[in-house]
Amino acid sequence: MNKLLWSLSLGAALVGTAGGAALAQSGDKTVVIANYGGAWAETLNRICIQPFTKETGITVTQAATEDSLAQIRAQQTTRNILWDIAPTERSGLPVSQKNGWLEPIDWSVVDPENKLPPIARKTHAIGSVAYSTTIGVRTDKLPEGKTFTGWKDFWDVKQFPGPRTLRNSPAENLEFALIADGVKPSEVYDVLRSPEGVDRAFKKLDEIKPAITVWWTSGQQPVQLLASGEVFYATAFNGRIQQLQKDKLPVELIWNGGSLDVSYYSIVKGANNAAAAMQFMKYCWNEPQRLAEIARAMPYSSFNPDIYKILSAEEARQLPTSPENMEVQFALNAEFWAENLPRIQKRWETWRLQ
Amino acid sequence: MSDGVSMPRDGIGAVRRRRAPFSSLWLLAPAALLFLLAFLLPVGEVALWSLQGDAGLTAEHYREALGEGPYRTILFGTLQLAAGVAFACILAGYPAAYCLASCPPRRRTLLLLLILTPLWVSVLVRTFGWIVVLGREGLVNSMLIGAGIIDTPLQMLYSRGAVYIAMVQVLLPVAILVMFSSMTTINRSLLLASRILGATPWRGFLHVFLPLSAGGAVNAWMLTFVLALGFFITPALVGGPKENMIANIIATQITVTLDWGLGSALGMVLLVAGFLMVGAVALLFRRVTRLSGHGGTR
Repeated sequence: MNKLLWSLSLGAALVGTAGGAALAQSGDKTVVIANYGGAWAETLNRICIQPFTKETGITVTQAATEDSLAQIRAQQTTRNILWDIAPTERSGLPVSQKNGWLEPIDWSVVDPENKLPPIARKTHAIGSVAYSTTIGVRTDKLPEGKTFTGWKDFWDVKQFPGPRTLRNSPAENLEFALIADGVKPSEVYDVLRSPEGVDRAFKKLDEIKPAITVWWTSGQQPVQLLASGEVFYATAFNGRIQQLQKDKLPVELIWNGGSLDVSYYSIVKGANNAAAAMQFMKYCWNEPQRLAEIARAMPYSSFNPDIYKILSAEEARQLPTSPENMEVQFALNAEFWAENLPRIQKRWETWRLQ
Repeated sequence: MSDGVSMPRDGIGAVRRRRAPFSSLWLLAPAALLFLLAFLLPVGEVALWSLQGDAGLTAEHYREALGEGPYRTILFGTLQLAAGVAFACILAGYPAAYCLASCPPRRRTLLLLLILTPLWVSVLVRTFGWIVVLGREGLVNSMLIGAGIIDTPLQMLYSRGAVYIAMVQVLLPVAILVMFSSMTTINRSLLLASRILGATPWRGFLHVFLPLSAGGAVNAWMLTFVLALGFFITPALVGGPKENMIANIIATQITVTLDWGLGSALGMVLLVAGFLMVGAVALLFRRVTRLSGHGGTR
């Protein structure tokens, strides 16, 4: 436990000194972009970073992180800025913005043609791509002749018996519960903001609790649970479920009632190379050709509408931001969660113990 | 003449007396420096965070951590689980350590190697191993169904039991090694003496070996207990829907809700609670046995 704090504070400071020195030596033409590593980092490297460096001579290094927001805070408190670009999805953006940890984006550089819709064009962040939390269903475990359509069915353990898994977090699950309770996806946050909204969601969650075998914490877990037959129904990121389908597992992806989550990237306050960082943002996350390539590599897609001029209808159907999929989902409201998460998180821990 | 003999003897004695304390303190320096830089300073900073409120110092985070509510429950649950896991490690590890300590050197090396091998595999991999073994369509269930003993798979994974099994498996080698090393210092001729005085082998073990090795067992308990307190991957992966360790809560406070005050307070409480439990056990052990860990071993 203390290891974590220690690695954040002193560790960051020590490594920071070394990293800072290395950066200073290599001159000012290096952009450090933090992300969550894995396949996403490989895709970025192939489609954006290598050609960008070739064209501009600016080096881009990736730094893997698992807890971006805590790291941004640690870097700002120690005034030892290691990153230029940092992921700020979910509460990350509103919280960092409120604390003054971010530089504003110069939209005349990043999106001069005004292609991005407001959801991807924030004052302090660009929505790079979006991913969805959707339902994965083991079709071979479905009762004979039944079709699974969404949250109402997820909650219906009589018609659709079998073990289930949800993420160990109140964010999204409260929304899903309300949709199962009959709230329209577009209205979940109006209900949640009302005084009895959160109560209503927890009451609905009470119903499904006995059917939850495990609350998952890392993105690979629900997919592994589906694959091993440990659960029949799970929430999971769309890309992970589509990977199962590619592996020929009998799994169906339900977009209906899914939660659209934007992968935001911001420039941190005091970044060594903010100008080059913005140049990279435009190059990687606002050029249709490159964005289409990213969407083909992994099913996470940009809000830039021009990518659907490049992609086929078949490809578009697999993507979270395609018009038909956008229509049935709701966008996760980061502001709501930034304001309310600490309070609701405590209630969530209490509720899980009951 | 007598002076001539005693002088050099005193001289040597004086030199030894003068040098010994100085050099032994000096040897502590690297460890002490590391301890100061890598433990005391960060913990001190965490302690500061735990007391910082929006306006000056506050005990609010500690009220939140220790007052009625989920955190206190989870904290007690964690202490209980860690104590139980450590106890299970002692029960399962003691016979193994005894066997190691009494077998011939060549076989001992082989056995030690076998005990150490699992430590080279990451905790995550070993935990995933249990998922394969205990899962719904896992090894045990398919064997039982195949043998016609059960019809529907047993729910073994995602339970307290699974957490116990997985954590004991991870920590057992540590417990065995600690007990083994304390057992090798026990003078075996004491056992022989008990036999000569007419004790049966069992009585000799009970009255001579067990008390002498109890110190090692208590040390092993303390070490595994402290290690178990910080576990969070294993309970999160194989634990039931209600399973939650305080380490997971701390991680959530640090990375998700960004409430570093509460996270720090929980960390400090865990640290102090761990110290108190280890101290209490050590004290109790002294009271009960009136033996220190190495008493009678020479």
